[in-house]
Amino acid sequence: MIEIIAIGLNTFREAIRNRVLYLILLFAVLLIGSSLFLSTLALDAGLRVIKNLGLTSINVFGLLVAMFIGVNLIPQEVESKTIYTIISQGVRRWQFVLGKFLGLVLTVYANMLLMAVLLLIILFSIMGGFAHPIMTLSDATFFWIPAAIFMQLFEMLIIVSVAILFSSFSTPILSAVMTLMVYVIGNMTNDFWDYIRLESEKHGNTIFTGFLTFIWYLCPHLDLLNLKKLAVHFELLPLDQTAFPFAVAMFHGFSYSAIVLFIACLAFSKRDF
Amino acid sequence: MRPGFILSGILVVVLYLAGQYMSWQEQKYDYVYNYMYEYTSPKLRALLACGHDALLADLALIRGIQFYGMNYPLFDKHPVQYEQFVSLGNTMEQLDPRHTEGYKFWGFALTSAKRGKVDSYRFLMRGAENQTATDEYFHAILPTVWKLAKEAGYVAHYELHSETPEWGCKAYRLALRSEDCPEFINRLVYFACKEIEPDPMPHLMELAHQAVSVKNPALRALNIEHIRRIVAEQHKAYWDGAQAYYREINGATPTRLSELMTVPILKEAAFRYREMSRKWFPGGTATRLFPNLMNVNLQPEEPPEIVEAVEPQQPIDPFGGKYVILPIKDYKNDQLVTEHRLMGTGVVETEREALLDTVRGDLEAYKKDHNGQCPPDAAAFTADRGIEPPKADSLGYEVVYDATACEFRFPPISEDNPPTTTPYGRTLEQMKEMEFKEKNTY
Repeated sequence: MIEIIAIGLNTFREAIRNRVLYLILLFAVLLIGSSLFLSTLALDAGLRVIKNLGLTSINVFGLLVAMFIGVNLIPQEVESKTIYTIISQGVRRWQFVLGKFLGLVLTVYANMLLMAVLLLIILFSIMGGFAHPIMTLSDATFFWIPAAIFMQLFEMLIIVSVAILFSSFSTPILSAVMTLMVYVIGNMTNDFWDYIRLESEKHGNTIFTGFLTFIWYLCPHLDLLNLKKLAVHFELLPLDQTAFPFAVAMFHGFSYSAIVLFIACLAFSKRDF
Repeated sequence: MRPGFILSGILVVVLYLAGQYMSWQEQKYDYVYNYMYEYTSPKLRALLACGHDALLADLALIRGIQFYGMNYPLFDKHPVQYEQFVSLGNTMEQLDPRHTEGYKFWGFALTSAKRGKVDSYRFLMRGAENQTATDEYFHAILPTVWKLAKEAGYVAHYELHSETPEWGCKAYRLALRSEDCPEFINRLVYFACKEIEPDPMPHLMELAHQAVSVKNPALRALNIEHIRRIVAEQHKAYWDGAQAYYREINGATPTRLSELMTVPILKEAAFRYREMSRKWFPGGTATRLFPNLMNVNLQPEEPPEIVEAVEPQQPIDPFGGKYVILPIKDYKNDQLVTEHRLMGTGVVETEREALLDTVRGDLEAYKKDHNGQCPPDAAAFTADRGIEPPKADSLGYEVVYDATACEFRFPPISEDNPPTTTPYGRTLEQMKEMEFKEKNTY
């Protein structure tokens, strides 16, 4: 456990020294800030625009950080041959993979936290928070927007684990493309399921629909963790109606990333370098 | 990180920004709508949003606002632009089916086109129904339903002039399902539904129940006022029957109420009223309802009393006045004509009070500025305060100034003292100007 934490912290320290990270963060801050200008064009939907653009920025830039930094973590160690030093110190390969995963998760989460704080400050000031801070903070927005961001953390858990999996046996560019594909497919699982249902209605349960269903089960269901759209409407609903789907989604995020990491550890343990 | 990798990333970003800039330049000179149809169907666009559909719905709304601002005068002239605008609205709907602000905007914007009113109603109703839809997260009807349903009801009732009476009725009934629905929708339901549900009794009972149960005095007064309006409407139906029968037997229009106050005419009016109401019910039985069924002239604290009317009984003005037949001068086809109309004086008295209230404050101010002296005449008042007192009431009775009592007042309404001028003292030019404004008010 100590080895995993040590590698994780070291990875985090390395990552925050990376200039690419700051470049991405700068873009994110600019985009979230620009939502203030964009909101003025949307008549009475201005607040919605700020929330949606903020949540999307956090999600997309979190993905970019996971992709651009995550896919390089293991290949870089192998290329610079520092992996030999680490492995020769008695660190097991699975500990190395989990350490890298931990470091990347910390990096992504730190970025997302910064962006989330910025978004919440903007929302707070827009909603007239400085005049009535307690009343503003008690608004449902300040529960549901952090809730949506919290669910995105689980989404990023899956993305980071997938990035680590691909980087454990593939080249960085290919890993980045594959991670992006997983993100896209993961966000389309609801539509994918609709398509399978449509096929079943048209042609009955065939081998093809069975195969598609199997693929559907393999996909990460990022749709479940996507509260970006619903966070805007959720403000109107009581929590007790939504707690159960949240719990299921969080469990899915946690368990899926655990399985992917297990496969990544297996793949890395078989790898020759 | 390899320098080549970073450089590739920068190259991609630069190319993307250049592409965006080029398309922006193109659109600036070639209009946005030329590109509306170049994309695929709204459903596919929603699919390609890849989890960011809420933001894209917002962007579709912003684009729709810009498109509308640039093209709305052309919707009737160039149907393609109208179709493109509808297509963009459908995209917004597919991206976020619960985008309340988006539905409201499209609902408003579509009414700019002549054929858009029906589309506007359907769009708003789809929006309202989407707000009530339930799924894995939404087990409850959203409290915002009423906002869209109310707009849909407005379009059906006022923009489409209730061409399809069921539409407005359905919309307002949907609005009532929302727990946040304001109380006034209850009253709109009556107006929207009266063509398909002409029997006023259920509405009266409901309003009476609300007037008794509600604790807010303003809401209670509103409900009682609405009851009065409904009862007054029924009185009009009764008197219309009486006047029609009078014309049939005498070949002339009645000029005084006393001419209608004969037993045969009142009996015939009651009979015709019952025959009219027979059509309200599937069984075709004679109605229990008669105009005087409700005494709404009680104090607001009292619960409204419901009593069975005894026929043939003369209706009591629910606004506390009396019924008279007055010769009203008005313009029809640019000609000044005089018509004998049956009026309830209670509503006119209420309106007179409101008109006089507009000058009472200024009259007090005049007295204060002139050591308690009243203005010698209306002209002196106007010269000093810079405001014109109301000229006449809605029947055409001219306002008079009483220097002794220091007040403006209207003469009493009676058949022996008919109105002297047109309603509100308007001239033909003023009438035409008003009609022009009404037609051109967006």
